[in-house]
Amino acid sequence: MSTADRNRHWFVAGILLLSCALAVLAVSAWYSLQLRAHQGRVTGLALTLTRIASHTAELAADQAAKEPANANPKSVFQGDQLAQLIATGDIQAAAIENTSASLSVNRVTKEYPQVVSHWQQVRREFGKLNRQAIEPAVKGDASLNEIESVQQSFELLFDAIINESLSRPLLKSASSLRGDISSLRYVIENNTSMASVQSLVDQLQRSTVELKSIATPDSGPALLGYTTAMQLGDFLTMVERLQVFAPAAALSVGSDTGSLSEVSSAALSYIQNALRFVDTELHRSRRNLLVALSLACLGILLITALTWFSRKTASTSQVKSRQTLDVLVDDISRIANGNLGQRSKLVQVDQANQPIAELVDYTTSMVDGLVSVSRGVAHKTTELASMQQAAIEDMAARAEVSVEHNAAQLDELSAALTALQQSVERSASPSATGQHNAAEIQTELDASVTGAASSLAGLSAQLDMGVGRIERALHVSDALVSVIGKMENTSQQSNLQALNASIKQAGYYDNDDDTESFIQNSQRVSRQLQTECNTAIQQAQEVRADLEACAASLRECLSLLEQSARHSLQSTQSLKKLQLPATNGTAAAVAEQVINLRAIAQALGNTNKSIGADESLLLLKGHALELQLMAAKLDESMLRFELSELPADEQ
Amino acid sequence: MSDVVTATWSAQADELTHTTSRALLFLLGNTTYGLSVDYVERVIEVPAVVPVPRASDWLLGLAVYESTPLPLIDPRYFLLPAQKLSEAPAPSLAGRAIVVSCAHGRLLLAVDQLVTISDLSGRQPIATDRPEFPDQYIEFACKADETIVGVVSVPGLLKAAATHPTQQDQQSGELH
Repeated sequence: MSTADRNRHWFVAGILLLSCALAVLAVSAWYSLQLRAHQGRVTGLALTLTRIASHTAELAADQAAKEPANANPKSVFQGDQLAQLIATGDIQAAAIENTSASLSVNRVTKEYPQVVSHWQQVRREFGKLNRQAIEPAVKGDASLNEIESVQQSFELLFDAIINESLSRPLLKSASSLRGDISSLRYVIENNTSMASVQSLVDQLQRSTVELKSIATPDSGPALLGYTTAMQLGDFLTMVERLQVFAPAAALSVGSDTGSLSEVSSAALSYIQNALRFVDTELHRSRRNLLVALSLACLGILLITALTWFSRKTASTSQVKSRQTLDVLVDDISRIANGNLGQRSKLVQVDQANQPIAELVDYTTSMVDGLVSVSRGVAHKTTELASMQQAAIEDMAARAEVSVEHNAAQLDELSAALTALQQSVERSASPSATGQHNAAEIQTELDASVTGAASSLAGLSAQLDMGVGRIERALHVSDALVSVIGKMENTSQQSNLQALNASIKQAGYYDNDDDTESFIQNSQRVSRQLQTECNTAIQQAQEVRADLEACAASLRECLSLLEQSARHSLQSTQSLKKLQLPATNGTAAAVAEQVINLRAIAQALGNTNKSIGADESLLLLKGHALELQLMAAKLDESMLRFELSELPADEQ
Repeated sequence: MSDVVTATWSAQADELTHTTSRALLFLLGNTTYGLSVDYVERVIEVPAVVPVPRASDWLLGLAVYESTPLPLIDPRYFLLPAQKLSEAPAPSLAGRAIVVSCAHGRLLLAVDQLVTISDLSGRQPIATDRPEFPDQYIEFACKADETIVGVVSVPGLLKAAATHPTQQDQQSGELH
């Protein structure tokens, strides 16, 4: 995997983790807002309860202070207890704790119907308790309507409390207290003994309305406070007013307040139980939420890790396939460029696609075969070049020496003949000296001609040897052409395989750029290899043609040399025939011999010319140069397939 | 009439399988032709060919490929004009062949040289009146790497081959 790929993977993983963190933060913020809202509602509920309890306690205490005889100690105690309970902040603290500790606002919201049902249950229980509590009163003088009205007032109160938790606290609190006043009014209304109280209350309300209608801020703080108390349902102020205007009614209200304190305590305990239940539920929901969040985070992390791992695995597989293809293409390219010595080991072929795997397998085997074949070509080419070089140098050197030696002997013969002619002309008589000189010249001439003949025979043998070497070089050249032909065949097979892989790939995968690129590279390399093979074959054939021309020239030269040898033999025989008359003849005979000798010398010169030794030498040198040039070309061509240092297992 | 090759051809069946735009380019003489790779199963060296007695000129014989004897067809008989066909050398049985597979079966097309596989999508068809591109056998002509390529209509070619009279028909004067 490259550094860029690794960085990209880390970047994606970081983005995923950052997204998870942001999501958790957003959810937490939303939960926090909902909790704050819930906390406000519960706080409002607790404040309302506190105020009701405070009003109840104050009412009971005030009642006891003003009417000690009618004081209900239980009511005072319960009112105080209620106020104390509320004042200590148990409910509020519990509510705040619940709200602050809860993380699951959704669960809390869902719990509201449950809270409502609990309130309803509280109300039912309260009804039962109330009935139990007031049963003696039912059996006594109190009227049932009054008791039911008290119960109804509490139901209204609890409805108000329930609504309190769902809406704005102050308005609902006022509404609740106003409902309580209405309930009390209902109690008073249904009590015949309270008719006057009712009338007073009605009057009070009317007066209040009237006062409100005419009241202004300048009317005085008392009036403003009174109307505010009316608006806010200040129960204590209203009771005080009632006590001022209706002491009889206050007595009834005092007894009712005792009942109110009892049932309020009971209701308070139910509220506390309900809040504890809500608290427990909230704790449970919080725990469940934490577990769910943990599981979600773990799931996200697991999915992220799996995604990253699968991508890494896929990327690794792709990279390996790509590396395999790259290595293969590099190998083929190196082979096309003539470097067969640094081959890579192909691995992970099974991870490529099926058609590509087949192509890779075939190309691998093709490359192996190509290496073997190319190595053979290189060896044979080297052998051919060395044989050509040795044959050409040897032939050229020996031919040059032999022909020069032959020319030198012919020059000596010509000089001897000239000296013989001068000597004969000088003596002009068959003197003993002349005869001696003639005999001496004849001997020298005989030796010269014999030496020339043997020299020609040696040259002929050497040329014959050169022809044999060239014929062997031709044989090697044939083998070279055959080997290069095999290389071309291998290249064509590779091209066919590449085409077939491309056909399969076109059927399976439409847009795989890597595979397409690999196949195109294979085709390109195959074509390049084919071109190189064709060039090598052409050059090898040219070398072969030159070798054949050289061999033909050598054979022609050999033929001429044989002809020269025959002429030399004839000259020798002619000299032998001349020897007898030369020793015993007269001056005329000697002169005739000299003429014959000149004729023989001229014939030898003509023979020398006729065999064209100089021309043959030049021709041979020309062929040698051409062969050297072609050998250089062939070497250059084969250098493209040259073998560098092979691995130990391939050597 | 005897020995007449008859078949019911459905060009639509072949056209329905024609989905890709890649074509295998090959040479007949000096002319470049293309064949949709949808029809190409693979390319091979021409296997041993058994001549068919009294067969038409375009039927070079039967060659066994994957244990199945398939007809080896010389497409030059249909594609090249008569003059060029007479001047062209006889098809080499040591050359290359394309294994063509279509809705009606498989056959071998003898070609002179395989060039490459080229993507012809987006190539604008060009109008040409070259006699090497007869309308009934060429779907369209376009340029690929500065070379004019005639894309062969396989249904048209096979239909012509299936309905072409044999030598015996020609000798007997019966025409399909």
